[in-house]
Amino acid sequence: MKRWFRWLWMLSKRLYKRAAFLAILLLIPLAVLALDAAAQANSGFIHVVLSQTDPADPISSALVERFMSERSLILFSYVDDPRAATDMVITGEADAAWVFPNNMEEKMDRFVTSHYTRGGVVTVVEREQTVFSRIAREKLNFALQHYSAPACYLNFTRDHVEQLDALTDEQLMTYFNDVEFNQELFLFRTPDGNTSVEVDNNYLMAPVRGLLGVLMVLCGLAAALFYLRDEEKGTFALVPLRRRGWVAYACLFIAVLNVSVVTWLALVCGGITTSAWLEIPILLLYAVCCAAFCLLLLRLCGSIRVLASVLPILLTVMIVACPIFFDLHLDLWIKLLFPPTYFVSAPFDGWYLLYMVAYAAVCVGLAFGIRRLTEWWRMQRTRKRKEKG
Amino acid sequence: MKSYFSLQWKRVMKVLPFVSVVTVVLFAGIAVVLSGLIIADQSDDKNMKLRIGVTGDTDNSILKMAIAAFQNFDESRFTITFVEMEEKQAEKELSEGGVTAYLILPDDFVEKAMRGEMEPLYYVTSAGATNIVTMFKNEITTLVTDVVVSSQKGSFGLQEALEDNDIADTEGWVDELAVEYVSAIMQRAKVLAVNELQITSGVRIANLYLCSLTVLFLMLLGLPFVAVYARRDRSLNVLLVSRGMSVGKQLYDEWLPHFLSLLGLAAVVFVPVICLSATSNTMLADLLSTQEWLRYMILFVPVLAMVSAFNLFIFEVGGNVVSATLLHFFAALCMCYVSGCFYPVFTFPRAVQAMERFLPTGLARETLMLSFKVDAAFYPVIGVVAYGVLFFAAACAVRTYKVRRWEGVCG
Repeated sequence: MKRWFRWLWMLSKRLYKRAAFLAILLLIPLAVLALDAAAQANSGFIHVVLSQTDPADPISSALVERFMSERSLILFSYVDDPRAATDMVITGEADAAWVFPNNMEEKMDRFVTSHYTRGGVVTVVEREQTVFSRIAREKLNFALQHYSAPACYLNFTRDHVEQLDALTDEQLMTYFNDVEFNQELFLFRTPDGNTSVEVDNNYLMAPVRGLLGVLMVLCGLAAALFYLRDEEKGTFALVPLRRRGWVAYACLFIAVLNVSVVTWLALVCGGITTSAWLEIPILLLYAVCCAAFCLLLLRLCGSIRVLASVLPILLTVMIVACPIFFDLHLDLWIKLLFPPTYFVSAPFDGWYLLYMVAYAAVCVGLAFGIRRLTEWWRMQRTRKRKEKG
Repeated sequence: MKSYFSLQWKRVMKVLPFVSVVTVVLFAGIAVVLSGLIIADQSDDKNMKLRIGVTGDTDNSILKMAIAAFQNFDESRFTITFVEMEEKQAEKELSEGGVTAYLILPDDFVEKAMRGEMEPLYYVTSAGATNIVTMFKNEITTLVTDVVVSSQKGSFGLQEALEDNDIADTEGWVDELAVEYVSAIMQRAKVLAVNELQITSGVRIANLYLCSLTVLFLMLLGLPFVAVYARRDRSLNVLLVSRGMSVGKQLYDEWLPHFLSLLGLAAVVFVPVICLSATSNTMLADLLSTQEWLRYMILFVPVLAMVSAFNLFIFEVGGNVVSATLLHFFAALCMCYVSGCFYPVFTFPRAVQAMERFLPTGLARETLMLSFKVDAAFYPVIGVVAYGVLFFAAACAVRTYKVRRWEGVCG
């Protein structure tokens, strides 16, 4: 046991001597915290400016307050003057302006009683129609439905149910208001039935988990480059050949494990986690998985130059293939080739923890197989040279 | 000291074939992303439609009629397609990207709803999904819940009113009111008076993606050269300084071959793109005209001058292959993320957008956008050149410090 800890200490110490490695360990949580701070500021996929013709109108005021206070992917702002709102759209300061009229209740009633022919209650001015502007308009439409529903009920009752003519509007509305539904209509879950997967974070923070996964792979690959250089220098000359493979794996695992500690801190401080304690086994297994993947690449590339050249391609491919920023709907087997896929999916689907173990086993097996093959080929070449010479 | 320049040139030439292969593969990867983003963004109705599966108890005729009505008459038919399917098939299609999400209707959902027993629907999305619809799901489902609850309040309010006043619902008023609510929902868009000004920002979003991803490509282009430029042994540099060759001259002799090789690599991948756009009617021709593509390539010169200076600076700071690789990738990734290479820059907070305009990657993107922006100011080019000079000066300062330290250690 003492020997294990001695190895753990020595392999970690050689990393902490590298200023760049220390810098990365410090920068990762700082960068995530900076991004989290930026994500708290107002931002959105589309900027909508709200304005009221009559600021005292209760319905439009309630709508403005609702939109301004909700957390949304739409950035809402407010101006007093409806003309200023339109000007903001023309000049490009805003993408759309929603101008609420005076007497909204009366106008909504008229919209309903005219069987939706006298529309145009709320004025919407847009720069151009995009998918975001359509989604924003749907948000407004559904919000207005909430106010037209009582009018629809009253109008229908008056038009069709003569037997209730004796009741006043207030008495009819009492029946409407007394109906209560105290439950959510929609419950969110993932395909495996996991319902507690909502991570409340901004869209800016959504890819951070995936990027941290990619950074861990990068650090593993950097450790692989360190190992190759140390091997060239003869640092591990005293280690028996049959144990070199495990020493290589240990070097990579220790590096990734160190980074996983700061990754855990970054996830917890940035609020990008379902459970801080659940992240510990995920990160441990991911470190095993990452180190195995980097070991396989180390054996495949074989030299510092090749590995350093392959690095940008690999990192770009991982950012593209894994569901970090974009989902290009690639086949699942392509996504499963790269470790960040497991890291991104593990908190939502427990099976990915087992997949990580299997993935690590396959990578380590392949790495050792490639090493055996390489050694056998070298021995054959040496033997043939000796026979010729 | 012509020989030092020749030496650097030969070092670069030695790795260039391998780096060319890496460049082509990197370019292909980024081109795939760009085409995917452009296709997703096109305003063609077919491409914009989101498919949402409907599973569970869908046998009810009212539900089928409601789905059909939404598909044929509702405003949402331009953006969402509801597709009935089995749950297993929905799960499969969700993992393959065939559907964005799927709904699970509990047994006898409609019948229970008509009796006032609203059972929740499950809205199933894939784990960690990052597309726009998933991000908007919380907002849209809250609003839909609101509308359904309001409609139910109306229907059950009427039912209560009839029961309280001992009136039998012989005419089916409650059901008729429910249908009226469906009609109201489908005509909801008429409540708005929409005035579309048809003013674009002057930049199509496809062109924005093109410039952003080009910046990402150019920033990563220099990474394969790390083994050539990142080194710990400063003895040659000390010797050259002692022979009268300043640190600045040394770095210039290293920078020029690096800059020219990056330019050559960019030309290798982009010249075929220009030829394709000129000769065939493809997405490339839609992005930029041939003249704009040529201007685009000309603007690579100041951008790559800055990128090559940035690479040298980072490789100097790193000091060895591994540290330089880590620092380069981390710095490039952070700057590219903030500069809108992954998310469009207008989605960031105002403060970040203001900061981004002064980052090297932000200025690089603005410089490339000059190829198709009419009457735009030329300040991004000046900014990019200034950053190039700044990175070069910083690299000189770091090299000078390291040379002096090496002299102190060895002297």
